[in-house]
Amino acid sequence: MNALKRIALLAALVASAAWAQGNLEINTPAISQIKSGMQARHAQLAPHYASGAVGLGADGTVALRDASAVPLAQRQAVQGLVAQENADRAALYREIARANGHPEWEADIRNTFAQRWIERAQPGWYVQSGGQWSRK
Amino acid sequence: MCSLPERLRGVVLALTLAASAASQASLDLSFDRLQAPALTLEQVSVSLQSLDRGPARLRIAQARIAGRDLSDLRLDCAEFSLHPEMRCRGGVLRAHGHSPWQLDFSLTGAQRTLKARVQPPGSPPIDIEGALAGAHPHLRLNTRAADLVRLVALDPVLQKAVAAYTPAGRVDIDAQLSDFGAGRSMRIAARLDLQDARFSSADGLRAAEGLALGIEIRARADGARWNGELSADWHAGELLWDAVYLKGGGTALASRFALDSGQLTLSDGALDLAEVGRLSFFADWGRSAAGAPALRSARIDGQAFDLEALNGRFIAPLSAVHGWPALALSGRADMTLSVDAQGPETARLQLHGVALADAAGRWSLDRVDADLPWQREQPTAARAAVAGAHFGRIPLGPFELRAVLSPDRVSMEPVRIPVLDAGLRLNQLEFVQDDGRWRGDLSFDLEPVSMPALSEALGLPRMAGSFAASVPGVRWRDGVLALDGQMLIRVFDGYVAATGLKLVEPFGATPRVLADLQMRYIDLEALTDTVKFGRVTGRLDGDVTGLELLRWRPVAFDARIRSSEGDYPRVISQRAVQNITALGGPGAAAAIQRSFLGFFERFGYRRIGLSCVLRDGVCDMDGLDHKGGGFVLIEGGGVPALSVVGYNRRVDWPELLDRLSRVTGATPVVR
Repeated sequence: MNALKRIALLAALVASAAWAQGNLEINTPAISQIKSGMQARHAQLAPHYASGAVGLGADGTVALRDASAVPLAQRQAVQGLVAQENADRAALYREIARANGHPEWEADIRNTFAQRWIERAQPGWYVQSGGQWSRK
Repeated sequence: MCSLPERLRGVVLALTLAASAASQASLDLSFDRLQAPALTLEQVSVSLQSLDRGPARLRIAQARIAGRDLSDLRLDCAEFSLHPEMRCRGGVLRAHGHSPWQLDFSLTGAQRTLKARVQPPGSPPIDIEGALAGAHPHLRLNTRAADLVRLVALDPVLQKAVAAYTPAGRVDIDAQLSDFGAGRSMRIAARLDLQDARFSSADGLRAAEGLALGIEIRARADGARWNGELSADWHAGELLWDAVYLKGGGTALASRFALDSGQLTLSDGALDLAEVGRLSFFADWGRSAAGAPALRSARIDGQAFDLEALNGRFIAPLSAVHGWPALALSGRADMTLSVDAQGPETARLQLHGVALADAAGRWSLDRVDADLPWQREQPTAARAAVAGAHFGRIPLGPFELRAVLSPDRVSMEPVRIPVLDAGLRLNQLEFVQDDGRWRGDLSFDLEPVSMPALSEALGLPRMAGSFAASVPGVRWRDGVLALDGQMLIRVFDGYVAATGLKLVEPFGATPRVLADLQMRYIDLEALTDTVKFGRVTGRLDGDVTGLELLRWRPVAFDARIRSSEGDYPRVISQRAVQNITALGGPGAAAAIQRSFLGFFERFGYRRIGLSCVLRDGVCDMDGLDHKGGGFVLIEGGGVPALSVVGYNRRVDWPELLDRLSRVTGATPVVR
């Protein structure tokens, strides 16, 4: 049993060591396409990050955390933006993992990106940690 | 059955009679218990200093009125008189745990005409007028701009139910109760006008603002049963309920209703949706075995719905929220839905002159007339006639689809859809629900479409040949569309065959196409004439393995093209050589002496060969053979002979496409 545990631990270490070599900046036509879509959308999302309506989730997604900060007539549109952004983000993580030749890294890439988005968030934006929202 | 005013009158009468027994002197009366249906008063004491004019006091230790318990109930009138009318001026009503209410009232004559004004703290006064006795007893309650929050607070159950939505607003109430009392049929007529009403859930996704809503209810008791009609007219304001956003104005609801011990029936109902149309409805609720309200049956009908307005108000916003592609929709639709205790029972959708298109213009169905019935218990026959359609730039002719619909299966009859000068034959199209998931199977043949017509429709250079396909099986499983067998395209006197074709989530955010392609015996003269590349005479074979398109653009493949085996003329023009050289980038020109080229228009060659392995946006190129650090693209033969050697092995894929579009003067389709 102990031997098994050691092997599992070793496997985990090897896996994380392997992941550490992954290239997050890798670029393929698919990745640049997804990124340009996200860049175009960012201008629309930025005011909602600033107002606190949309926050950066701990899982690498964005979330509509307080729709009340958006005029009623625009809340639907913001829900749509959030849905599209999350679809693109999921595709981005999947494509980076694929481009690295390791589709199984998707979850690690998602986590790394989640931290990175939160680190790069502007002051005043809401970020999520341990299920709680806090203002940066 | 005894109505509430009847009970109240009983109490007032008892008090009056008791008081009349004495005269001119101060009076104290007490009762251990006064009881009437829905009213119980315990330890009641009345104290009057004078019967004419003077302070009066009423004390009730415990009261249960219409199911609500009040304790330490006190009414103090600063000036109370019994003659000539019972009158209380400057009254204050108090109860334990409640703020004091101001109360003035008078009760006069044989008809016991009541005039009262109650003013809860911080609220506008409520006027109550009417006659408690006589042939037509009635009471009318009127208040203006009452605070919705305080009104809701009067009913703790309601208050708790709506607390999460923090409602607010003002309401005018004008309600009349008439013909109450034993042996009569009570009537209620009420009008409520809500102004500037709003509510919001904590997350703000269910909310309303600036609501102006008029509600009218008229009802008459018939024994234990109430029959009546109600209507609601939403004048202004906006409402968001999850993904549905609506603006008021022109939205109105009207219905008859019958309410009888836990059973509610709505009949002759009509819901008018501004510009969209009118829904008629009927619904019947009873009680389930557990006693909870349960829908027993319902029917909804909509006639001549304007689909353009319906799309703008409901369908398009819902699609946007879910990230689905937007549709353009116009025409009229009739719809019917009937529901019983088990759920939807029958449904029918009829479309009249409907145009349906992808908002981005990628496809359209023009003038669709359809009848799509559905029944839970048995299969139904559906049909849809389509006057015309287009898919991309390809127009489709008129066709009619017939299908058998059942809850877990949709199967379509074979149909021929005209495509340019040919037809697409759908031999089998069937969707089956298995374990809650839908899977589909399709087989089709595409009759030979002439390439000149197809290339013209696609806006491409005119090509010779034909395009045909025979696909014995296409399977749809869990978001993957997979092709069994081979799709064959006859073009340029040869053919292109696709095998292992798979479309992964074609309607998702990142549609992916996987396939292997084989090209055999392509006539280069026809091809190069078409794409204006310069003339090459000869035949070409090619293999593309592991082709992968993401969002319809190539991200990976291993491609090889080479001269076909066999005996045929092999000639290449000077312009084609220059273009091939340009494709190879600056380095590729090294082996060619321009001065020498200038003398000849045409050259002989023995073989042409090129490979490109696309990975990560870079095409790794190779040729027939290696020569002096380069790779041979064209191996010379005959007189005059010419070889082309490339040196630039790694070429950026977008750069290569760019060069290709420059030399052909056209944007390649793969771009």
